Amino acid sequence: MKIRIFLGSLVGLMLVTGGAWAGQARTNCGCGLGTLLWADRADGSILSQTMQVSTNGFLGSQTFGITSGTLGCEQPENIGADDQLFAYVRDNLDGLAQDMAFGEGEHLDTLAELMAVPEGQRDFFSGKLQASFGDIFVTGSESPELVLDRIRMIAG
Amino acid sequence: MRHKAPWWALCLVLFLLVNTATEVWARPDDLPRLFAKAQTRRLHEQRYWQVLLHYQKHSQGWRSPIDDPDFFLAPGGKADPAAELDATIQAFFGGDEQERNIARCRFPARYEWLSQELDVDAGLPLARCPDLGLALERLAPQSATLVFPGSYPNSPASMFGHTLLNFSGSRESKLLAHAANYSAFTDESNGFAYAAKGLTGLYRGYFSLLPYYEKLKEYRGLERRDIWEYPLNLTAEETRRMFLHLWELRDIYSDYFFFDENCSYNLLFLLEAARPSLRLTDSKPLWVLPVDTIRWLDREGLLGDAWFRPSLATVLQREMASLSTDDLHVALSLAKGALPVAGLDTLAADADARRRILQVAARAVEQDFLSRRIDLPRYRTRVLELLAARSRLGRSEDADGAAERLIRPDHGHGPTRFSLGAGYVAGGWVQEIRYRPVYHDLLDDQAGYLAGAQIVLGQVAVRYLHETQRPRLERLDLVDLRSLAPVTPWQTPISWQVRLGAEQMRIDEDSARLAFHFNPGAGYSARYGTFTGYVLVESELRVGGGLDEGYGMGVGGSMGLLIERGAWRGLGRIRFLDYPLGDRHESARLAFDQNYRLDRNHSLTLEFSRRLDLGRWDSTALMFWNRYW
Repeated sequence: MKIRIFLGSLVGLMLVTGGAWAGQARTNCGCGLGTLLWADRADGSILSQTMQVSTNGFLGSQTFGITSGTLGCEQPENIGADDQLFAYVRDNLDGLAQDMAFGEGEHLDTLAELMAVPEGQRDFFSGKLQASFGDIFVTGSESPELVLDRIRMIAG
Repeated sequence: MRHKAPWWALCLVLFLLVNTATEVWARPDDLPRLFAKAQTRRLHEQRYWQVLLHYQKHSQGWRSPIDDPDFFLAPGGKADPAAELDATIQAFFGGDEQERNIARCRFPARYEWLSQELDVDAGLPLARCPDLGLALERLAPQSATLVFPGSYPNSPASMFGHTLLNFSGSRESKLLAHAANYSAFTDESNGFAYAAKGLTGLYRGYFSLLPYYEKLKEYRGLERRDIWEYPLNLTAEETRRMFLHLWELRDIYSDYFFFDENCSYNLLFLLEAARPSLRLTDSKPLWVLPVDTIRWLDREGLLGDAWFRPSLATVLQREMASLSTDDLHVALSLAKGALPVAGLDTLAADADARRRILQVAARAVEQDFLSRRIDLPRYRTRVLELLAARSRLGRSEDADGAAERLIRPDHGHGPTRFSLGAGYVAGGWVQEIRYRPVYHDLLDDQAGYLAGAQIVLGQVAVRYLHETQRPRLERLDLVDLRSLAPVTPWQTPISWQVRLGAEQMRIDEDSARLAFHFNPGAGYSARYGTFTGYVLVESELRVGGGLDEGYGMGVGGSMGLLIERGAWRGLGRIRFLDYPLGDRHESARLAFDQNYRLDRNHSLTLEFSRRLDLGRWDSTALMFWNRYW
């Protein structure tokens, strides 16, 4: 016990030399591109990153989230059985936008799986979404609901 | 009910069977029989009971490292497996139905095991538990993966990496797994308190379970950590048992210790719950490094083929490296908004080059946003414009070229090093023994470690001088950290070092005294191919009896060049400091150190240096044989 407290204090001392700034609160709320990129983190500041990493700490109250946290972006009421798909699109908007524009990628494959697109049609599916990228993301502030509606229309 | 029971009991059971399907066996007055059975079978001494409660053998008996009283049903349950078992039987099979079901749903692994061992019909299918049922339905855990995010460049605190455990169901996509993660819980905003508490056990560690994609945003995006995924060779049933035990640990805390009772150590309890024959937590060393736990699991034959998931920053770096200098310049101008996207057509003729330029630009904008260099509106406008242009060019013609061959972190050299050496120092022959408990220095073989990151803790060097015929403590490196994070067109990180320790200082011709030093420094480094150069500004506080006034405080700088050539690595450096406070003196050092890798766990070191201290020049030449484990 004593040894580990001693070792811990040593490394603590090192960290202190790095400075002790105060963390900033999360500033982004709402839906759309960029809003959920920071996951549960307060922000992208060096401090909150470094210090949270030190103890692998986390902020926020949700510890057992089976689908996901709903930071700043609520789920529509009448979503029914599709809530997994909706949560996925909502939480991964940025990765999805990138993969759609590139025409391939893990985020896109996951979307296809969640939408039950048959294996043989996945290339076609991603090609179609790539070709319609400009119709899906127009301003970047679209709600995930709208994005999902547009994807459904296009993938039909 | 299967053996001698009075007729009325049988009637009662039949009555209950008809009325409430869940009450197949349950009769409070049946409890004594269950207690007796548990006692005869000595269930409290069985391995699985010890595993589920995390009991460990201590000199005074059994004890669980879990600190949360809610985890135990008996008041002294933390140190009394038998009392805890009785209380658990009482909770599961006594009381009224509602109380029983709450207890069963709270500790499903204990319940499954006990009802099996006591041969009691499991009256409550776990699927009927409110939250657990939903979780089991959603996750349907069938397989598990150990996930190892490496260190976060330039952050000392993440230096040893981290491990989490993914649960996957029938979905093919790895993104849809759920990650179990043990971490310290805090809402601390004071950096000092945060670090100090996190490292000394003043925070509570909890398990969390979140979608893997959320963890990826954190580790792979924000923290720029490369990730290794190791599928575990567990059966679906073992995985399910592990999940049930994880559920028991929901909202349960243990004091978090950075060095031993940390994320990686706590995951081992889950693995033991999956397969109780594993003995992973029995012998606890002074420190548990995440990468060591991976080695232990590998030794048990638990790991499948490892899979590498580069961080977003690594992906960007790779794609940048595949561009020509001109194209890279175009991409960066696009990302900065200095060049309109429409201008690209005139600059790059072939479609494939344009695709790659736009991808690099879009990823760079994302990095800018993640590092807070641009705000949300700017991120949206720029990234959308770039992505829209990229989408019009169709899919890339070929997949990425052959990826570089990467060494798994657990296949790198062992973190503990023992060195035997001899040489010529200041006109006399010496022999030296060095021991470094953890972890990696700049000259050690790089495979499996983060480039440019040195982490040395607790290194001791003892030297035997032939002249005096006596051994002495030559050097103690309590902490010797160095981070050479190279400047790239995209980032200008600060390279830094912190050294804390003690070293012999020669005060006159025949005597030397131990002097303590605290020596921080900061600067920049750059990498070109296999060369890494750095320039640091340093300050140093020296404290020791050999110094006038007992101390010296100095400033100065150092520069060096690290070279890699296959199995050989060399580091040449120059350092100069002037000490205007305390004992006024100058210190200068010119050194060239080399390391030659013999195999994964052996190497040879050659050190040459010329050094000025307290007005005296000395030369040193030493050779070492190193063994790692």
